[in-house]
Amino acid sequence: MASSEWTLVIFTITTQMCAGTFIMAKVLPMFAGGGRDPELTRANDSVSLFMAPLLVVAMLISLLHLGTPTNAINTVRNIAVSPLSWEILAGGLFTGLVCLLALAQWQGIGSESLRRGIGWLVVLSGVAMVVSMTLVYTLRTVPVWNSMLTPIQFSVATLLLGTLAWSAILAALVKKQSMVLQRVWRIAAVVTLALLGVKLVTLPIAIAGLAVDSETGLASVRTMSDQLGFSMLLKLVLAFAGAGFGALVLYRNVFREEGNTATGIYIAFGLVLIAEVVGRSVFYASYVRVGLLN
Amino acid sequence: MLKMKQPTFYLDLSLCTGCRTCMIACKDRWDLKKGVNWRRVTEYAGGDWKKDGNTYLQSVFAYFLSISCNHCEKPICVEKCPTTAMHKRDDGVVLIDPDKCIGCRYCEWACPYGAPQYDEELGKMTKCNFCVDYLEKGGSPACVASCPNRALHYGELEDLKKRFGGTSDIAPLPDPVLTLPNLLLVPQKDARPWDSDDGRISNPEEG
Repeated sequence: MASSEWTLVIFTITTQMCAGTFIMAKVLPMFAGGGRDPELTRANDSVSLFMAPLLVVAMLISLLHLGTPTNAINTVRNIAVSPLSWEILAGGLFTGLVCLLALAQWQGIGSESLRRGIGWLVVLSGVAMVVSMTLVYTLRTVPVWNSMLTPIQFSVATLLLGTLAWSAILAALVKKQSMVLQRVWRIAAVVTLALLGVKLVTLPIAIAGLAVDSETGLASVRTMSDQLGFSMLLKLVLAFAGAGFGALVLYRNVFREEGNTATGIYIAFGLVLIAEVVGRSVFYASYVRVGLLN
Repeated sequence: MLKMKQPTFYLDLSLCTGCRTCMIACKDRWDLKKGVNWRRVTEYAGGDWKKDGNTYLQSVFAYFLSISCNHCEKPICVEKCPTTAMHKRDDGVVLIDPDKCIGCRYCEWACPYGAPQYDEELGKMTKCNFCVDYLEKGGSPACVASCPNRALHYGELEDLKKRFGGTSDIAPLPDPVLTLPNLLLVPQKDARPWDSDDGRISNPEEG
């Protein structure tokens, strides 16, 4: 299944990364304390300009997964009970709001308060999208997905990629360090390490639980170890290296000095992105359903 | 709309030889393409030979299940379909509306019986529709009419239960609690319960 689900790998990783970027852009500076930093504000205001095109491309790529994309307008009809309808609605809302915010930032439309308000709506819709994506995969007939593995992997991917993507955007745009920004980098470093820790501790526990829960769960675990063992190891090594290196670079403060340290955060982000893409491929390839085969 | 409350397939496992005439009749009736099988025959087999003193005792068993769509009481496909293309009618039949289907294959991921089948040429999901057009004219589903051993029948759920009993709790089918399938199977002597690990599907390549 892994190779045929590449469209979903790209779609879920990109949209979760975008949601995480907006979450971190809003939340992390709140913990930095102190006054508002004009450089940070200016960089934050530009996040939507980076994310809007990525989201539009991701949404278009998701249409490639459909056999009949021309019927896509029907996808919100089962909003009463289908998690996939919820995901499409939330994803569409998130993408629309991000594009609106990007346009407002670019053209200077509306007041700062209005744009900040839209920013919060973007965060809320992004969270709703990630939650509904998680619910899409919690199928009672697919034990490996209907386990703690799904919410752990999706939420960690969202926040870890979001932290590093946001840090990379700041590193690209910020011209001058400030005390506030230094605090923000350090908080981002701690968050990065904490998320890596969550992943390393909870995933083995979740996989072990899956192995004892059901025959079908065990079949998925066997698939992961026998056929996907290298991919899982690669994902772990890249995540560890990327997040660890990223946390170090962030803690020692990313600032523009001939681009050296900024390059460090780009490398860290790249390593973690590859790790998450590999991990998501493993997620889809580990699909085993109860009952009869197709 | 059918006059039945819930049409149901009924299969006597002691009569089914796995000949797959039902499968071929369905493919022929609906002109299904290669790889699209609205009815599938699964062989479940197990057992072993064990030394007992100077001789060997065997517990080898095998039986066949001919399964299409069970038009479940709690159809997970209907629940998950984002477009409502998959829907359960008032007469109990679960159908796909091709005008709404986007071919996302979410129902295929979800259904534990493998009922929804993706038609690559159409770009949409397809599945057993109980030959409702035949039933509306007083006929039988193509699979039932073709069964040479008269193992496969259909009828009103409550009527079949009263006349023959039957269960859907048979391996390698999944736990019936998941979707409440409207399917009645008369077990043969070696039939195992759904959660048995005594046997394995012998023809996984057929699905």
